[in-house]
Amino acid sequence: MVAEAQSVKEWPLRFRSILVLLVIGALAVSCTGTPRPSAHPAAPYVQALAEANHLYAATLTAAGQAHARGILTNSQIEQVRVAGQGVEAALRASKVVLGVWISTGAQSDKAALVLQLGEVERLLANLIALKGNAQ
Amino acid sequence: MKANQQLVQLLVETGVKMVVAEIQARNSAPLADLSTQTVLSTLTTMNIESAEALIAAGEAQG
Repeated sequence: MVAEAQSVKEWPLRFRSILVLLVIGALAVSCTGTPRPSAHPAAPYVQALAEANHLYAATLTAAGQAHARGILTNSQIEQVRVAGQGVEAALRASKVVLGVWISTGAQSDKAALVLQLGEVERLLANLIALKGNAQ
Repeated sequence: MKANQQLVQLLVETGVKMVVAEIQARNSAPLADLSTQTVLSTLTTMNIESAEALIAAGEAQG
């Protein structure tokens, strides 16, 4: 029973680890990978953004389900809602910056994108941790 | 404690499904191999739903 409870406590950490690995892995490909000649340098970043978007959507949908089932209280779902709105804004900002970089190809725009994706990762990890810690 | 376990399990199951779907999609059409036009198209069609709508959708699914 104790081992089972300990295992359950570790799930949010594992889930968060999956998220961090996905985003960092996608970014690392752009730095160390050897893309084919036809590949666009922004492709790994588009992929990272798409994965973060999917995790964001899955997390909030699951939160809504948990609220409907009485697992999350009104106060808790409100906290998740606010955190989710922060992730939403960061995702939208990343999409804009990514589009700008693809258009200009400027290194400064790429640097801004990397910073913005880092913000997405931080806020998304916080959102998942917030939900995982809800009781 | 039981309620917390249910929530965590729900999150993990949902998250894992999404990750698996992403990996499968990546294997069939790796974005890292795509051209400029396809990358732009993928970015343009990427739909970021509002947090409000996503929570409401989850609540409707119950």
